[in-house]
Amino acid sequence: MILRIDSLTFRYPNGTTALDGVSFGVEAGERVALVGPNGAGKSTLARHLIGIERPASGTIEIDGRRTDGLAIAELARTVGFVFQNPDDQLHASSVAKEVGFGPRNLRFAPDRRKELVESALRRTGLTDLVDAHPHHLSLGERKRVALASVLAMDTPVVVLDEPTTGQDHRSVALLGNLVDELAAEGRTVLAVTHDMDFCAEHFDRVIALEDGRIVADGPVEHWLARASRPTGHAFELPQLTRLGRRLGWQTPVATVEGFLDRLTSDAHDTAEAPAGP
Amino acid sequence: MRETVHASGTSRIHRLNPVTKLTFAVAVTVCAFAMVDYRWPLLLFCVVVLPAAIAAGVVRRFLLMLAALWAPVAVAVLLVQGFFFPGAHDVIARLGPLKLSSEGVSFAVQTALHILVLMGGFFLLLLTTHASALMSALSERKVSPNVIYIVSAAVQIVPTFNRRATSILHAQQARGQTIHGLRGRMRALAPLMGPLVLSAFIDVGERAAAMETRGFGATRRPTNLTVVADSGAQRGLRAAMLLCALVSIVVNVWGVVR
Repeated sequence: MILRIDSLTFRYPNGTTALDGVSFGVEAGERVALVGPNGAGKSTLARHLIGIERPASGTIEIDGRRTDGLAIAELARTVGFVFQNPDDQLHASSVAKEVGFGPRNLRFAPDRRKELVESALRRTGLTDLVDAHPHHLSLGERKRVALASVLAMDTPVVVLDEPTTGQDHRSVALLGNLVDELAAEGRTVLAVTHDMDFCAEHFDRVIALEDGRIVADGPVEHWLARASRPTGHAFELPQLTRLGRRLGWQTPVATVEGFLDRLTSDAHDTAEAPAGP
Repeated sequence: MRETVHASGTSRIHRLNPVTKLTFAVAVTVCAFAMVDYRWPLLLFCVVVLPAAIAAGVVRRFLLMLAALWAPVAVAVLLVQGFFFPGAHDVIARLGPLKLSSEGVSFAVQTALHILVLMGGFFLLLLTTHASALMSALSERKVSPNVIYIVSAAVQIVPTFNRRATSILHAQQARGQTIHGLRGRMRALAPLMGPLVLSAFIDVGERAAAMETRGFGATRRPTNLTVVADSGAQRGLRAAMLLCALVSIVVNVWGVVR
């Protein structure tokens, strides 16, 4: 198990409990979406993984090591954290230098560094912008630079905080493919997101938080079944799930493949059904 | 996250009109700078400013702010003036080629104490006054919206910068940037200052545009959402404080002229 969190509790200085006894584990290569309404504790949980926040109680173990006492820069060897606001990190005079910042800090050999930077630029579609000044780019491009700068660190765990916010369709599609590729390489991806279509298409597992507690943990479809109940929730369900509900399907579908499978299966059942008297 | 350093409370100092507290800060500053004797600002701080902070119930944060902001300034002033005071004769200590002069130390102590009173007066204002109350109070006195904006921005700039700097530092550390030791801290400076300064410029531009699009500056007499309490006693107190400041200036001029 690459990540194990046990009874994690966290309180803000004003006494508000942001996380209350959170426990779960993540296997290498899993794609996990952290979802929940605003203030549920998703980002706070994610920030614990890189050591920006420290638990009031409970433990976090990443790649077999307890994170207590490890500095953020040390955890950066294992966890790549892509912040929601790219402008918090962009400081270099070119995209290439910005992407090379992390590998340089981690003291990769020059050849390895060059290889990682080139790969990260290619995967994020930034090869044509290597010499551009990061601050001359659009928000979507700046977010991709921030993502590339983390990918270039070659960490086994990648955490994305609201990765699709402010991104156009092409960038979201690129990001989705990247999540799938990283998982296929055995790297673990955790994403804090409100984008249910993105979540449904690219993540194996959903951990839903409410008031600092885990209220659901499992495959996307299981969570959608729960969220489909008329109990009120903070999300707009994926379009395919809503369409399935309008068609009267009891089991929610989340992906295009799932939807097509279900349609095919229904058509097959209808064809095989005995004709009426 | 805090937008200002304001510490909420219900003390009498908190309830004073912000203009009264602003007058207090200006008056004690003028009084401190007007007198040449170093004991005078020390007396002002110990007898007037510090007791006011205690009465407001913010003394801990007040002293922490002074320790964080005044102490480094005082040390810098002491080093620069103590070792490099022009025309100093009375050497009290030597550090290699550097000479510590009594004239320099005396001037440094006096300057540091002046700054102590200045910072103390304004920290008390910041700690006991919410930025919106200060803006409303100034607006009620027909102060120009541009001036109010500058004062408000100044009040909020320290916590905003602090929060932003923390976010940037975390983002750089998350990419392996270490900040241990002097060299580590120096190396971390450029990746910190670049985004910090740039974001400050962007914020200023965006905030100005956002305020203008909401009618800021369209009239010199905007209406206020809240009315800040004032009283005849406070008006008298403000007049007395300004009189004290004026007297100290006159005494200073008289003393110098004489």
